[in-house]
Amino acid sequence: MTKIIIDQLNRKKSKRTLSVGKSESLVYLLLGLQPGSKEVTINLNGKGATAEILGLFIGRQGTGQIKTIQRHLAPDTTSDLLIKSVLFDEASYNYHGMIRIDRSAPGANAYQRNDNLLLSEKALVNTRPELEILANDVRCTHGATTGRINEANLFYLTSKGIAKKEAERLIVEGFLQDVLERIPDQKKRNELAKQLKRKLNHVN
Amino acid sequence: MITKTAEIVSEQYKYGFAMPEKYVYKSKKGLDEKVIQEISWKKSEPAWMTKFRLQSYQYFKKRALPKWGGDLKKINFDSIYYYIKPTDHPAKTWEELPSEIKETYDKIGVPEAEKKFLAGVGAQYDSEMVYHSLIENLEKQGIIFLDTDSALQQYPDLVKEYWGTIVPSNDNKFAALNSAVWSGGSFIYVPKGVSVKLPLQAYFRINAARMGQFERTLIIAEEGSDFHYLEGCTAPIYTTDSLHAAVVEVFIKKGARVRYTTIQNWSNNVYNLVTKRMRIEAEGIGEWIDCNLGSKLTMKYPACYLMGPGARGELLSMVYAGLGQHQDAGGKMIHIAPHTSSRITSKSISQNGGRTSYRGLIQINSKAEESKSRVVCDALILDEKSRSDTYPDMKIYQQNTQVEHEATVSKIGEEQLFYLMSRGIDQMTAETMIINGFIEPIVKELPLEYAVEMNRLIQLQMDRSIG
Repeated sequence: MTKIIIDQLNRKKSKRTLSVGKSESLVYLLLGLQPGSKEVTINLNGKGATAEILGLFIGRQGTGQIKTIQRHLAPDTTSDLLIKSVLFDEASYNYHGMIRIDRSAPGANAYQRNDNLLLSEKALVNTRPELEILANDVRCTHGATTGRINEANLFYLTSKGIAKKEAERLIVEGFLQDVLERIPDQKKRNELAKQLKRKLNHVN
Repeated sequence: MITKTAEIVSEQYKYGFAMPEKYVYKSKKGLDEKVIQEISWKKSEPAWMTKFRLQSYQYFKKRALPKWGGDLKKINFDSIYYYIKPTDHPAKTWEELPSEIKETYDKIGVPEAEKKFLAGVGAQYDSEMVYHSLIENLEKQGIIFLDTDSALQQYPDLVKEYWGTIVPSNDNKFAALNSAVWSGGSFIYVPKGVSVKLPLQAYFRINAARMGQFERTLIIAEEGSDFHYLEGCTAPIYTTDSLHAAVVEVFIKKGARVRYTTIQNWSNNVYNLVTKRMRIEAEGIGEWIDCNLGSKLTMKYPACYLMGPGARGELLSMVYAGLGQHQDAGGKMIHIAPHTSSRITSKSISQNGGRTSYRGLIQINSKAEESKSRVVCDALILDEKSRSDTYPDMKIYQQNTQVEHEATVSKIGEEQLFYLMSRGIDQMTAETMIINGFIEPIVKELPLEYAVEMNRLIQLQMDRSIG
């Protein structure tokens, strides 16, 4: 049975620690629709524990600050992180991620990805995806990308008669869709999609 | 010039593993203003340099040790000799070197002359003639290739114009220390449009083949020039010194291209803390190839400042950490002008309790539109005692850009190993083959003789850890 937790980024700075035990499975989503600061630690305590850590930040002004720690303490544990941000106007975004695989966690599998889309000249990004690996029988990869909307995609849509603003919105929605798709609950997924749409209509 | 060269050469044969008590001059242990004044006076330096050293010493005293990276607390600044003028006669013999070092020399097949020279025991040197004609040839093209002390005497204005301008003496504690007590290093000036075919090797410059304790290198590449500078060697460099803090400044003018290759193989009792920077103007290309095998702790992050439109920076970094070693290395790419691009490729191997850390910064400033950067880090951890870290930092202040980072950490692939062993190759050889393949993208950029030595050296490290 997979536990799903949906959390919000709040203006109030906060910290949260979650533990995943033997053979348990967790899906955690941090929804960032307003500026704020959050630090989330996921401890994979039991053999075979798995965690999926998801995050979204849509910013217009102010700073979204997200820190995540994926801590592997037991053998054969898996963690998979995907956090995306879309930055309009004067938004800034600060991501600091850490995967820590302790000596006690052989057979660990860890993944961490942070993609950021810049829609304004004034938007700022600072991303620090970090790894500390103390076991050798592991597979760990991470990646981060930051850039603006792909010109070719935009050109394709506008050439089909879609207005530029609308085309941008479609691309942004598609960009964020990857995160939503990972939530293993149709109802929750639809609810979140609606919420995001409202937010995007509002900011764009 | 030949006579000058000869002087440098003969003076240089004094360098070596001479025992401290046989030195002609040695400053007292530890550092104070008097020691610095003495160093400057012994070298008959211009007043501005003495002042620069003294000011730097003030910065050094004020600066705290960095709180990140490796463990620096064990460095005892008061127990170091900051300046030693070598003896007139090389005292130490080949036999006096630690057996581990000798064995490595033999096994990686360092040429006899280089071997003797590195050990500081060679009285005659086979390449002397080669060296003379090389220097003559360079001179005809207007190239200056000297040790930094001689350059300061012969070209004081040129040195002063660039000195400390991309690595200010207050940049960090170790840059400040170097600025206060520096000695030796290379000075290279290549005029406009001149392209140098053979790599300029510190080894050929003879007097810099042994890297100094606080060496200072200054390189100026005028518009459209093109050359490759290579320092260090694959053979381990034995030293009883415990701390090495170097500063390297490279100026790449419009359309020029400089490649700077370092192979660091200090013995495993050395703290190696180096600040290296390139300033690259429009359409220029700067490349660092940085291989770190030795030392107890290395903290080194070669940087490219991309100042002009179209400038490009590249770093290929390779580190190996074995028993008791921490290699904290990486690089920095600072995009200041539009249409600049950079790439970092890092390969690290940790084994036998060693620790490797990649630490890097990519910064895209607000004026650097249409800039691109890509970082790829791969790490191999060969056993359960070893460790690998990745600490990248990306600061992006410009929308019109593409910045990518990716890293993987793993052990040697089971399938790869199985495949090779099923072909009748024993495990040890198979592992070495896989590791050589892993570092291939970097090794293939080295001059052939170094590439061959590097592969042998890695193999040797593997053998040792098994035995």
